Amino acid sequence: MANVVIDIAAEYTGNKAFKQAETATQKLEKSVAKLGKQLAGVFAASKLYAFGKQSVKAFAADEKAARSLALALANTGNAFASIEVEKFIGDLQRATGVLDDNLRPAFRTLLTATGDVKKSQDGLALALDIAAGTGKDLGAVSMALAKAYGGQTTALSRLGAGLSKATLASGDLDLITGELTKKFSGQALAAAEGYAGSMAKLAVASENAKEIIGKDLLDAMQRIAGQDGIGGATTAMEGFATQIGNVITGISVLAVKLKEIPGGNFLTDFLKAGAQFSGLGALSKLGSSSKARSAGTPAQSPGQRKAIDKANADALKLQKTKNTLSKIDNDNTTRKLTLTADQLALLELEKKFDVERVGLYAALNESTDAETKMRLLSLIAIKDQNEALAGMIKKATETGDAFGSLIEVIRASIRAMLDKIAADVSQLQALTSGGVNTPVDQQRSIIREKLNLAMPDISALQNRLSMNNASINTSSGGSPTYIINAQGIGDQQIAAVVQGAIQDLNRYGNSTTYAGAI
Amino acid sequence: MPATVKGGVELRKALRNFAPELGKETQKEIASVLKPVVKEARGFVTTSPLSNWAREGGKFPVFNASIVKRGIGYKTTPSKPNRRGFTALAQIRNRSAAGAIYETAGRRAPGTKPSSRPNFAQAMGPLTGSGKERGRLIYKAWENDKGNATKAVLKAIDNAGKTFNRMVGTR
Repeated sequence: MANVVIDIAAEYTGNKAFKQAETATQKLEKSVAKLGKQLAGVFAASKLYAFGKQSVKAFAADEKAARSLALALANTGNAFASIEVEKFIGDLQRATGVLDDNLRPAFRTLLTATGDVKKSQDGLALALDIAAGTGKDLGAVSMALAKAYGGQTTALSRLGAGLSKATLASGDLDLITGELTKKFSGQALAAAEGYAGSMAKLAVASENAKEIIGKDLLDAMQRIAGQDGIGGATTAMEGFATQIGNVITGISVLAVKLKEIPGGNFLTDFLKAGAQFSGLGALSKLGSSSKARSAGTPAQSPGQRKAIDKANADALKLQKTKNTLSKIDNDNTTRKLTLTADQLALLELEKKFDVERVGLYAALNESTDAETKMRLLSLIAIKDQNEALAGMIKKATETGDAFGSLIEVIRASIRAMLDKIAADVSQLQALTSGGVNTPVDQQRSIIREKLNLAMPDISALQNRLSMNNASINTSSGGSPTYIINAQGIGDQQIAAVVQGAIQDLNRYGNSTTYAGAI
Repeated sequence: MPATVKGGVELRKALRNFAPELGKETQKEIASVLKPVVKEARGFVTTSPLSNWAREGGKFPVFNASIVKRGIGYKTTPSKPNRRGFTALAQIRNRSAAGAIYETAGRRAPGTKPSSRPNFAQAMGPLTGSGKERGRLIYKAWENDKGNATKAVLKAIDNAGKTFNRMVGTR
């Protein structure tokens, strides 16, 4: 938007940006002053703090590398070799003067590529020789070797190890490593000798010392922190440091004063003795034993350590043997299970082609008589050694027997009733034929009385028969025919009953289809 | 370069808070001074400085005399601080786009290239004033006023300050 204006009576009120800048500057000045004070306070303790920090850092890095390597071992199925590998790396570190901080990653790289501890150990030794011979970084050399294990020899050719193209092109790792070994064997050990090697070993010792101190510092901090957390620890540490500082200053003053006295060199002896018997000596012993306790093992002599190592190795061997045995056992169980399944299949097949069994099932299908069917089923059960079917047949027979008994009871009661009726009828016949002079009314009353006596029995019989929901036809004279009145029962219910029965038969292992049927 | 004062903004704040009637009176007095300048500036607006400028179409602002006149006005309250931190206690303004073009066409900073279309500015007539305060409408009127308005505004503010101090019993 156009802004053509004429300002009248302007006044300088200050710029917003200037105000912001001014405020920012003031804040900065305050911050700088505060930082200066803090720096001044910290500077005195910076050296001690720096060493402590380095120690803790070194220990943390070492522990991280060790954990990483242990994980790599576990992932490649070599967890059992963890102690052995750590010992190997420790020995290699002492022998070659190469820090374990460099050895562990190199070993891990090789282990990832080979998956084999022995190959990785050989590879690491070779990589150390090559690194010492060519002046290349151990990490780069181990990576090149790892790639070579994977079939890529390009990185190996760039190491300047003087490998011929033909050797590299062959891809034969045995040939390549053989040539490398021939060229660089003993380089690492040679490099470890002399002044440079000694310096490297010193550096290793120094780093190890740092790691040990760092670990102890962390342990001590945890112990001091206790329930109060790190705040309590810092307070306690500051108080303790002040006290120690005061003691050191006091000792130095005392030493200066004593030196001025003739024969004052006894101070060294005094301090040595003091270290043994004074509170410092006691503190040192306390710290040492505490460390041993926290490590979970008591202080050990070399002999004890050797014995423990042997025991560990034996235990490892035993565990390996156990694992092998359990594996064999598992394999046997698997084989047994497979065999049982095969046998079952064979038996089923055998059943299908058993002529006698097929004949029995054919007879069963053709028979209409229940008793015959039952007999045939019994024979099949005996043939198949089928206990379930036999039990079922036995139960069915028992049920049939019980039903027969019931029929007999009903028959007996009907027979008794008929006998009684016949007796009454004959009595009536005698009464009507013999007693001609008897008045008609008297005869009628006698007949009514007899009929009245007979009616309850007839009604009771009728009720009994209707309760059983069955009528018995005895007119055929031979074996009785039972007619079941299934009023209110439809086709579906009957089908359900039949299906249930078939399922029961199947559950008992008695198929309704004969052997060989499709 | 406008005349500078000290305490003008504070005075206006004090008037607004403690003597609103006096503040309004001061504003009216300043307005009465600026009105003739504005009236004169509006009088410089012609129907169309260029024959084709009044035609509609295109992105270039169309010159409409009534809009340009309406855009010319005054302000009697303190402005926001500019980039250099100065606050104006009163202003005469030319706010329309076409009016601003007509006001400033042909004005260029020393050392800069001349306009690629000098005829456009030349056809509108000469600029009046000096330095950055050269123009054809408000700047021309302001130039013609010869600083009387500034003096009157400053006097009005000064009087208001004195009255206020008298009212509150100081000085």
